[in-house]
Amino acid sequence: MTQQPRYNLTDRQLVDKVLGGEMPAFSELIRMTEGLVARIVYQLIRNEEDRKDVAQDVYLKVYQHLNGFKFQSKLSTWVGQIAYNTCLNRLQKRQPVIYDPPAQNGDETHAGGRPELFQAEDETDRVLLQKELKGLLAARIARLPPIYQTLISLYHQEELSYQEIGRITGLPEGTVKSYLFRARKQLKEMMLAKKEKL
Amino acid sequence: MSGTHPSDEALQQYVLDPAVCTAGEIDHIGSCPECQETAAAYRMLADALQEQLAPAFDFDLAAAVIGQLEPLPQMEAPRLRKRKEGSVLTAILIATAVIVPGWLFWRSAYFVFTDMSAAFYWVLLAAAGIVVGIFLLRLYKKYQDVINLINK
Repeated sequence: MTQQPRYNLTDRQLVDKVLGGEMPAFSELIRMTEGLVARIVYQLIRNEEDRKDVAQDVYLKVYQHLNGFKFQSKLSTWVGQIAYNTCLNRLQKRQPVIYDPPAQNGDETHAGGRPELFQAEDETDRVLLQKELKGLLAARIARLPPIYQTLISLYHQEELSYQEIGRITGLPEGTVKSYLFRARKQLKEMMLAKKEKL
Repeated sequence: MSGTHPSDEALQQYVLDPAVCTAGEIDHIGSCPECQETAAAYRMLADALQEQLAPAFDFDLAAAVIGQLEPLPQMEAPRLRKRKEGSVLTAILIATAVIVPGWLFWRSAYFVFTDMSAAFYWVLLAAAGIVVGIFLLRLYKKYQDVINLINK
């Protein structure tokens, strides 16, 4: 999740400090929002070197355009929007890379052989299942289309609202909801299919 | 318990935000083992999704960025003044565009809408429909292009 600010500054105070030439305030802005930016960049950009470039590009753009920020959304949402658009620009410029989902039987094998995947008997079982599920899920998420991965990450991990995700991605709120429903359904079905195999 | 199972979407809503579910849906899920199992699966999925490891950059991003920056010129005061001037100007323009024609033509405006033939209304409606249709089509194409680009 996006980090909490070290100092309790509002978005407006932070922006004014940066515009006033205070570099530590910009460092603070980066520190507060780099978690969100990392989520977006890691989901959309596959190449490690490109990720570094894109992340720096994002904050150079934020700095250049900060005086145009109109406080119509949270500062983090605006930064997220820039990150998303910078990723799209990078994808447009690069040669197409074929999306290569991880192999079917990759690192999910450690999910173990538990047919009662969703019906834990007691708290210990539930915690154990949750741990197994986390490992299994990482492999399953990586198999989803990148746009679904991004939305899942922003909603469930970054805990943004549908409206904020819509602002960042430029997708209508209804589309965000519908993609998220489909993504969760796919994840649930993949897990149920795994359960039946066991 | 009502006969039909709620949709998968309703079950997800039930897990994520039960307040948006209808009383009928909540009642059904509360007494249907099948739906309860699906809801339990979604609940476990939501918990596990929340606990996925967060990606992090393996370098000092702030230092890398700050090293490339030139100090910004002091621009806060002119920025605020410019924004205020812009808002006042927009308000004056909107008021002029509405009030002046309204004041000049309010008597004749009534007859514009009452003396027209029915065919004219249909033509007007069709034209509006076409414009909206084209707009929606372009919007849809734009979203599709972006999604295709991301998923490529």
